[in-house]
Amino acid sequence: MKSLLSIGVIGFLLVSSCQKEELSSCGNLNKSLADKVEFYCGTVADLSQIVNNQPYGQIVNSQFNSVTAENSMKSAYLHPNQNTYYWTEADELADYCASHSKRLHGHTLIWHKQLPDWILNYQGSTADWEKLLKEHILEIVSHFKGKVASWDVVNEAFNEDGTLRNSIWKENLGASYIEKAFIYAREADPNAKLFYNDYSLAINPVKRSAVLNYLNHLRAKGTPIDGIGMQMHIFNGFPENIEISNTMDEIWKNDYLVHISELDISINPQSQQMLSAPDKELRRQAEKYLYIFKAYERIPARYQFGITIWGVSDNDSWIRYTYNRNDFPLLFDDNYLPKPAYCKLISNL
Amino acid sequence: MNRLFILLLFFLSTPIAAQISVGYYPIQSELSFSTNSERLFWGDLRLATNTFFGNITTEPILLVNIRRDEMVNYYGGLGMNFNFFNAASDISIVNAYSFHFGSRIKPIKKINNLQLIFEISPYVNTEFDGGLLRTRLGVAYQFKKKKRP
Repeated sequence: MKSLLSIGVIGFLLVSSCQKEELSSCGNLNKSLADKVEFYCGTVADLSQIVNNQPYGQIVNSQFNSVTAENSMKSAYLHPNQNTYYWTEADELADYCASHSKRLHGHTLIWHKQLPDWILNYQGSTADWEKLLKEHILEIVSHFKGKVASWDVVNEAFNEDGTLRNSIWKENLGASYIEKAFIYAREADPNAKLFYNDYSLAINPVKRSAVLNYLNHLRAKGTPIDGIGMQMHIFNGFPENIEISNTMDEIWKNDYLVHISELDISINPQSQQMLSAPDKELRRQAEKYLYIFKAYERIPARYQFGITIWGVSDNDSWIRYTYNRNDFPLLFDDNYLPKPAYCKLISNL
Repeated sequence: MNRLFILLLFFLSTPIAAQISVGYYPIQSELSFSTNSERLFWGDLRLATNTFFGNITTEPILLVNIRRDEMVNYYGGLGMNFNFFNAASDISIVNAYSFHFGSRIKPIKKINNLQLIFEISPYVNTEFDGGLLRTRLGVAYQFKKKKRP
């Protein structure tokens, strides 16, 4: 009888968990997200948008104290030809950050995507490739020495199964390109924090374990790796919150700084027809954002590098143009108005 | 608050007695407190450990022994996964529903209180659009009342 009662209680709990709660709203930007937390809170940003798009610029100015360059520091933009570097846009972003007291995070030195054609078509011996890698990193990191606080030195070097990605860098230099990239970056700017950055670390324990094992192996050899960036392009439904907090724990317990480096929370993973964001999904998204911030607050301060949101408004999100689906992954809506996720953070942090 | 009250009722209604069992799942760092796992129906409470208080999850489970043998019991059950610390942050305390299928093996006949646990426990979130397929390997000790001479 008691057992039957227990089943009934569980059933009631199931039903009660579906009760609707009101969506909170907040109409202005009088408060700053960055002021609500003890760690850096940043966004990816594009300088032309900051300058030319008033509400975008206002949000970046008022809400965040850290900026990651969305594109202007990627190889295709900074190093378009073998003997040409294009500094203007990235320099202007660095100047903006300096004049607005914002930390600048460099993204990214070595990646298999957004490479200039000359690197993609480069023909040379292993020694030539090593020279290319070294000069590319030394030139860029030296140029921004003292202006860029940290770099994603290597981005997305692992496959989902935990093996090393067969990128153009690995094809020509072998796995040692990772180690060398960190060594050259440290050589160019000893004060910059150096990160390995990747996705699926929370949702894929195989990949997470492979990344940690590999980086630990490199660090045991003296490779200067300061931290790990968890990109966190995630969904309302997954990964589970507990996996996110466990992953943060695993990274800092391995003595790496933790950077939530590209956070956005998609609400439309199945690419359904979705003209506007459903209230229920906005509520879930708000709770997920808050859970991540709260879990991040709990890790020891010396391992907190910060949380970076990957975009300002839903209208600017890479998800819409990359996957050609309507989605609403960020803290501000298409009109740059605060969404429930932002309000939840502001009122609960 | 409503849910907390109902949860309390749940625990009061389970046949908690002196014959509890305590288990530990070392890989998952989970602690388990069960009612008498030799009975047809029994309850289990799992606590995540080795993490910050704010991350601790609690999983009450109602289980039924599908088959009880001298050396092994096979069971199935339903549970819910909570993070009660979420309440302090205005986040839903209910994380997911869990389903449990497993066996409690009693490898030493003379010490049949000692049990090895192998369990598969799928876990789905409350919107049924995400979850985990968890496996559990653990050890438990079933405390039993001493028989009077």
